[in-house]
Amino acid sequence: MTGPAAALRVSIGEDDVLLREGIARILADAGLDVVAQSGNADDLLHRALAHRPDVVIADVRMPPRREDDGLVAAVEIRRRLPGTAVLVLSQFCEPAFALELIGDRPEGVGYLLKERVGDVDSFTDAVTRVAAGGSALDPEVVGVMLGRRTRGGALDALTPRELAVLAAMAEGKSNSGIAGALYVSLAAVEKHVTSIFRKLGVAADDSEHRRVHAVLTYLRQRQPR
Amino acid sequence: MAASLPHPRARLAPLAGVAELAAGGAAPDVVFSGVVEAASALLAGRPTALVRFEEDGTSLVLAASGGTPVGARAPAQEDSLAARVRRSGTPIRVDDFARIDVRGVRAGWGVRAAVAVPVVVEGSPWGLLAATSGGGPLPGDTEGRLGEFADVVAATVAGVQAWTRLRDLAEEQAALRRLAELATREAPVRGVLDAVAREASWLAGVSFGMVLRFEPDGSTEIEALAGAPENFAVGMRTSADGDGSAWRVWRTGRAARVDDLGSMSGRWPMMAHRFGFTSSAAAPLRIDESLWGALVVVGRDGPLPAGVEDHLSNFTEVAGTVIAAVENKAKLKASRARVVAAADETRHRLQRDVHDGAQQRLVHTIVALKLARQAIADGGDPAALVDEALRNAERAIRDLRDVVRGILPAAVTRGGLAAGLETLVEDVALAVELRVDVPRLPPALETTAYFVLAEALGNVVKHADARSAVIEAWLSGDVLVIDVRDDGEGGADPARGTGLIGMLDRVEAADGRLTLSSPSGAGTTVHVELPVPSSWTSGSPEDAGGPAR
Repeated sequence: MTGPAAALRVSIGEDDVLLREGIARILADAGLDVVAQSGNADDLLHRALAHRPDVVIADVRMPPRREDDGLVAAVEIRRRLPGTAVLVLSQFCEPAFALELIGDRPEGVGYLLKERVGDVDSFTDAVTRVAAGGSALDPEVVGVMLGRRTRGGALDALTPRELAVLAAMAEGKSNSGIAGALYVSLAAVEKHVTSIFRKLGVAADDSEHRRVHAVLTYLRQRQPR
Repeated sequence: MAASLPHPRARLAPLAGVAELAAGGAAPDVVFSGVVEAASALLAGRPTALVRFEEDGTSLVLAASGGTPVGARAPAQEDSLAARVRRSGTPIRVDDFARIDVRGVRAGWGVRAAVAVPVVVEGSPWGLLAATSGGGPLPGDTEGRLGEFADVVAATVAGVQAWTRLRDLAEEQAALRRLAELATREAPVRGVLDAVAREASWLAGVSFGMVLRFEPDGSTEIEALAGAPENFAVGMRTSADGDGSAWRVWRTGRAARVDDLGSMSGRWPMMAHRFGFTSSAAAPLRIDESLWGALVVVGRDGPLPAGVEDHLSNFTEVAGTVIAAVENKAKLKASRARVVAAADETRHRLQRDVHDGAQQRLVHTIVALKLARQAIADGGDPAALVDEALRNAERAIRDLRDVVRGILPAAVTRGGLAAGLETLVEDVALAVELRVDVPRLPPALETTAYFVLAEALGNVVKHADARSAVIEAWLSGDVLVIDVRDDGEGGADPARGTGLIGMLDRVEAADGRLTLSSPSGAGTTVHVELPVPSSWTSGSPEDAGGPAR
């Protein structure tokens, strides 16, 4: 994949050197411009502020504290650089982390499990998608969120197909993306989407990021404990 | 008539005898007998009786010298001798009972004539002292003589009354019960001490109470006060030198009393004396066998009742038990909190170990394999990527093995304590001699013993600067005994570092005991005793799932 006029500028924060360089190579091979690499969260933030890249890719657990430093830096970058998209890579399948990152702005943001890096095409696709203002939420994370909501509540009213569409929406997929992933027609997707929003009592919206917002808001609310 | 009475000087002797008796702290019935004997002697051996007015209007014979039986109760009767004395508060004389109709007295006890004087205690009629005659009227001056004597009797009874009030078992038991209940309510130690001071001073009636704590050097600090004058305050301290009941408790470990506060040199007696207090008594307060402090009561009207120390001791015994229970509960809570914290820390470490180790390796493995698959699809050579994936997968399994072993070595679960220790010792950079002779034990016990030993050994490696160590473990009856000795520098202090506290928590959680001997420069010995459940030792090993393998 080659960039259009100007290649996307990417900054990577990952303390696992091998993985970091693997990511850099994959992205470079895909025609992206890796402008900075960091092994710790403070450095990641500084370099992001200096380079103002199109996308920052960040690990959750990073030095200096080796706790959630990378996530904290990612949230901070989103706050201070609204034009920079942030994609967090993590070994934690943890909806709370994803929701904290997304906040109330599911635009230009993503949270993927690390092993997705190996799916070169879909990974680079996720990077370009968040760079374009879209979102990318790992299907497993979405699965956990849906799993927590399935016992009781409005999700019970959804058909299995509608649940699959809801999950794909939460992942940040477009209608055509959903149609491709589920092997159904675009019209069928649209019909499912309308039905889902009606059943959940959520105001329907055509624009993708507002739709993600609505879905996430729904999934985030009244999480049973 | 006068000749039949003793000489006035001789009269003093029986009075003085009774006073002596009461002051000496004799039991009430002994004092009462002394009273009537003395009065009888004073009246040429005529029968006398000490009668108490009961609340229901009856009169109870508490003591008698001749004639009237002790314990006899005269009914409430308006014109009875007792009723008249009680009503008038003055001496009453009856020269011939035949002329008045008083049932019981005349018929039953063969009394013809009587003189009764009131015994007034603290301003109210308490009873009477009577002399009787089976023949003619009593001598004309009997009232005077009896009355002269009655003042002493009243004072004696007042003393006895204070004493009986203190001795009132029901009240004391109730107070002790209230104290004991504080343990179940988990009252703070300060609250227990306040209650002790309050209950003790209330029972002693005329005094104030305080609880003192002894410092190791014998100085004291006020921990609780009840009814004390304003120059006393909680938190006040005084040095070790001085004399008074509390100091005597500190020196002897036994209850003590002081009847003349004015002659004492200590700060507390001097302060109390300034406010008119005259006497004190103190009992040791022991917590877990060691002398912690003293309960002190201070009196205003001469010496405190005899035996007051014993009653204080009753209170301090209960209080000591209650405080020990409360403190043990607090210790248990702290220990539980540490156990929980240790478990949390273990989870944290596990999460980090897995995340940064095996999990990370597996991410690499997956990424490499995916890239290899991609390479194959693109017609490239996947060999290097597959090698990388394999390397990472192997690292992951090694990391996982370490983690699993850290959770609980399989050697322990499979082979028991001895086998687990052999594996443990292999990993330690220290010459360790194992003398372990124990059969298979309940898994929980084996785990506890293993981790206590692992921590002990870890401490040796980290802190002791030792060249070698010996681990001994054997069964003594139904107790697993473990000794860990090293030849290091000694001087281990449980207050420093968490290793020892962690071991202690584990041992205590298993109902065991841990003792540490660590003289500076002479190595450290950790001695642990862990009870083996009786169900394990009594049942056959097969039944218990024990050393059958």
